[in-house]
Amino acid sequence: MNEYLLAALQRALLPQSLVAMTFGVTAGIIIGALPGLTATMGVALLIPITFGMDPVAGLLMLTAVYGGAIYGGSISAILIHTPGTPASAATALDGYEMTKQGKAGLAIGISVIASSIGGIISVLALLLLAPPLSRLSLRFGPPEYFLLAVFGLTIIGSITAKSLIKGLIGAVFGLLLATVGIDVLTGAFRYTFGITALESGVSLVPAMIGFFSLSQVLMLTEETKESIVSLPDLGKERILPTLEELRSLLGTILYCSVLGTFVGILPGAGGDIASWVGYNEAKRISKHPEKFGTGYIYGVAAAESANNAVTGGAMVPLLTLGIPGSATAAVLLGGLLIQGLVPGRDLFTKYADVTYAVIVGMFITNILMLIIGLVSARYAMYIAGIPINILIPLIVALCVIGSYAINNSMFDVWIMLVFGLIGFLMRKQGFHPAPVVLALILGPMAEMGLRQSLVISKGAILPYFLGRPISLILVVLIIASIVSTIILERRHPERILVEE
Amino acid sequence: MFKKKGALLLIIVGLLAAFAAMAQGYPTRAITLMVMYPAGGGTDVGARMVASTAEKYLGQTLTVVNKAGAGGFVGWEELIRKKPDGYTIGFINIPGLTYGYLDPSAGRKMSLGDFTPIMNHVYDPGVIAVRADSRFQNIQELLDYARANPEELTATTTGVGSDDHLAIMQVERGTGAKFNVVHFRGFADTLAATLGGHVDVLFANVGEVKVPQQNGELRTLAVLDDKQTDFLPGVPTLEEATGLPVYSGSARGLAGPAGMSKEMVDVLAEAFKKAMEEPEHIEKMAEIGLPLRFMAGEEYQAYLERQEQVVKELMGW
Amino acid sequence: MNRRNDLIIAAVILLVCILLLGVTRNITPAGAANYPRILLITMMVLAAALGAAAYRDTKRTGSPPEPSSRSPRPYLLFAFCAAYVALVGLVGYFIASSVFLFGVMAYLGRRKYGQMLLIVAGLNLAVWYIFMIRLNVLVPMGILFE
Repeated sequence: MNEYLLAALQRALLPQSLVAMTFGVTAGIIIGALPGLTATMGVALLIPITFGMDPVAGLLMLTAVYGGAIYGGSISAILIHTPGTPASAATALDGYEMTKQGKAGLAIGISVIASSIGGIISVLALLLLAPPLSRLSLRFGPPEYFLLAVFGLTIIGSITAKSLIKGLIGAVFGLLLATVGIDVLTGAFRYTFGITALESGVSLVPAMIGFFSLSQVLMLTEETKESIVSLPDLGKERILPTLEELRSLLGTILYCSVLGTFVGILPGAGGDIASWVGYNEAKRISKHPEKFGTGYIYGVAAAESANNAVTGGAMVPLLTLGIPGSATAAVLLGGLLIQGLVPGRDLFTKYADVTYAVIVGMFITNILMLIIGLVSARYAMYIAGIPINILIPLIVALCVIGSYAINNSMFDVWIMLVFGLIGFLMRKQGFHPAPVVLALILGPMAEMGLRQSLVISKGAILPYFLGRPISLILVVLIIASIVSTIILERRHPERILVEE
Repeated sequence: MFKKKGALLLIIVGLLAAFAAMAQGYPTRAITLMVMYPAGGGTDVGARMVASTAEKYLGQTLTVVNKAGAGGFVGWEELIRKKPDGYTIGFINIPGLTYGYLDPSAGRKMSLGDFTPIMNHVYDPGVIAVRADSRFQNIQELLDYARANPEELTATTTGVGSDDHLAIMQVERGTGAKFNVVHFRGFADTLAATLGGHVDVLFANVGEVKVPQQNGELRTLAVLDDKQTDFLPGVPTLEEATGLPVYSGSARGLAGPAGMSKEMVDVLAEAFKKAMEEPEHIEKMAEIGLPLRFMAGEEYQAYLERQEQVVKELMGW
Repeated sequence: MNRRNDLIIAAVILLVCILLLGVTRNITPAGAANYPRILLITMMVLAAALGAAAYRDTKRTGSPPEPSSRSPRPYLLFAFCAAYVALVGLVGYFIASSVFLFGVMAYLGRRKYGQMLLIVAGLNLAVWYIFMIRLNVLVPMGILFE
C-alpha cells in the first residue's frame, strides 16, 4: 500500500487534478448552498463531464462536488433556515439561531472547519478499511453478494421513505426495473418490448439523472419565488472561531466524524441520517444538552462533521464490494463505471494507481474545501440568492445534454425524462427515489447471486448459505435490521423523517 | 425515348462523378468509427489505440463514437442501416455478433451479409484455468475428473453465448466431460469467483489471465488455439495436451454496412494493417492484454463463416 | 399523507403487476421468468398492505382534507421538457435549448430580457466548449441538419 501512496500523491497533485478538485469543490459548495439542489443531483449532473477526462481528475471532481455540496448545504441552512441539502437539516437548528444572534459568520466558519475535519477523518478511515476489505472481497461469492444486496435494500427501504411499506415498494420497483434487458444466465429477453435499446437494461446514469435531478427540479417549480428574502450581511462579522472554541469543539467533532463515517459505510445511509445521528449523540453526551437548539456552536459542529464524514465512509463499500454507502455514492458508481473501473479487488490491484490517487486526492479536497470555504464565507450569502427561475431551465438543459452524452443516445434522454416524471410523482406521494436507484444497482447483484447460488448448490440453497460463515453473519444482520425497523416504527411512528 | 436517353445520361454523369470522387482518393473526409461498447471498456480502449495510429496512414481523422447497448446490437443495427460510403464503419465482436443474430429467440433481422467485413484486429484465444492451489495439475487430470464426475465441477462463463460459453460446450462435446456451468456478467466477476474458490474452473481468454498467471494466482492449463501464445509461455494448447482440436476465442475487427466497394475496403485494411505493425502499437496492446491477429479479405470472411457454423452446430439452430 | 391517494396507488400497482405477470409468460426460456415473478408477487403483497393500511386509517379518522399544494406548474414544466426533448431531436441541442431556456424563464416570471439572452448564450457557449471542444463528445444536431 505504501509504495502506492507516494505515486498517488504525485498524481493527485497534477495540475489537471488540482483544477478538477478546485472546480469540484467550488461547484459543490454552490450546488449545496442553492436550496433544493442536492449533492446527489450535482454529482449526477456532472458525471457526463468527467466522461472524457482522466479517470483520476474526473473522479476527484465528482468526490469534490460530493463533499463541497454537503458542506454548502449548511450555508443556506445557517443563513435562511432552509437546508441547501437534506444533509444540513440538523445544522439549521443551531445555525439559524446563531444567525439571529448576529453570529452567522462564526456559524459558517465552524461549519466549514467541522466539515473538513469530518471529511479528512472519513478519508483516513477509507484508506485504512478499504484495502483489507477489498482483499476480503474475494471471500464474497454468489451467496454473499445476494445477501449483501438484500441487506442494503432492507436498510435503504427502512430509512428513506415515510413508511416502511413505501420504502420497500420503492426497492422492489427498482429490482423490477433491473430485470429489464437480456438475462445473462439464459440469454432470455425480459421486458424489452422489442426495443433494442432496452436489451442492455435501463441505462443507469440517465435514469439517475431523471430520478434525482429532473424530479427535484419539478418539485422546485411548486414554490417559485423570485429570490429569497432578506439575507444577513456578513460584512464585518468574525468567521474564524477562537483557538479556545476550537479546542473545546475538537472532541465533539472527532466523535461525530467517527459516527458519520460509520453511517456512511452502512449501505444506502447517507449524510442526512448521519447529521441527525451526530447531532443527537452530541446532545446526549453533552454537559449542556439544553443549550442545543439555541444557537450552540456544538450543534453546528456535530451535524456538519457527521454529514461530511459520510463522504469517505460511503466509498468504503462502494470501492470494495460495489455496494453504494449512500444515494450519492450510488451515482458515483456510474462515474466509476464510465471510466471502465469495476468495484472490487481490481481497484486495489490492477487499478491501484487510480484508486489510491483518488483517495489521496479526497484528502486534499477536504483541505481545499477548508481554504475555499473560509475565503468565500463572506460572499456565501450571494449564492443562496440566485433566482430559482433561472436555475430551473438551466438544470433541465444540463439533464438533457448529460443523459445524451453518456451514450450518444436520444433514447437515453427519453429514459431520463420518463424517470424524472416517475420520480416526481413518487416524491409527491411520500415515496423516495433513493431506494429505487439503489435497487436498480443492487438488483442484478441480488438476482445473479441468488441464481448462481442455486446452480452451484444444485438447488440445495439453504445448507449452502448456512454452511458459509460470512453468509451466516449477513443473514443475522438482515434479520436484525428488519426487526429493529419494525420496532422503531411501532414505538416512534412520528420519528424525524428523512427527506433525502 | 427521350426519357430513356435522359436516364442514360444521368447514369453516365453519376458514374463520372463517382470516378471523379475516386480519383481524389478515398477517404476525403473524417470517418466515423463506431464502437458498440461503452467508453473505457476493453473494446473501446483497443479501438481508440488502433484508430489513433491508423489515422496517420489514412490521412483523415477517425472519430470514435460509442454506441453501447444490447450487447452491441444497438450499434450494429445502426451500422448496417448506414450508407456503404466508407465513412461509417464499426467494430464487430465475434462471437457476440454471430450468436446474437443467429439466436432465433432474439428474432433479429440481421445476417453476415448485412456487413462488409474489412479486417480483424484482435484475436484473444480462450483458456482453461484453475486457481493456483487447485488439485488439478494439468488439463488431462481435469478433464478425466470432469468425465468421471459429471456436473460436479463448476465452470465460469461471461454469459450465455459468450466465447467462454461456446468453449465449454465444445470441450464437453469433444471430451465427454461435463461441467456445472455458472454464468457471470464479465471477466472481473469470473476471476474473483475463481480466486475466491467459489467456482472450480475458469474459462476465459489469454489476454485476461496473463497478469493473474504472472502473479501466481492462477494456473492456466490449456490454450484453445492452434498454437501456444507468447502471453503464457509454457502453457500447452488443448490439441497438444489431449489431441482435441478446439479453437475458440473472441475476435474484434472492422466492418462496414453491406455494399462497400473493394477499393474502400482495401484502403482501410491496408491502413489498419500498417498501424498494427507499428512496434509501439504492438507493445501497447500487449500491455493491456489484447493479442493482435490481422485477417482480411477471404481469410476474414472464411473465419466469420466458420464461427457461424460453430454456433449453429453447438446450439442446434 | 393522503390516504385516498395511497388506495389509488395500491390499486394501480396491483393492476400493473398483473399486466406484467402476463408478460412473463412470453419469456423464453421460462427459467428466466421466475425471478421477475417472485418480485411481482412481492410487490402485490406490499401494495395490498399499503392499501389495507390506508383503508384502515380512512375508516378510523374519516377522510382527511386534501393537501393544498396542487400546483399544475410541475406538470406544465414537464410538458415543456418533453416538447424540448422532441425539439432537440429535430433541430438540435443548441436551437432547442435556446428556445426552451428563454420560454421557461419567461413562463416562471423573469422579465429581464437582456439578462435572459445572456444566460442562453452562456449555456450554449459552455456546452459547446465543454462537450464539443474539450470532451469530444457529440451533441445532438437534430435530424433536420444531419
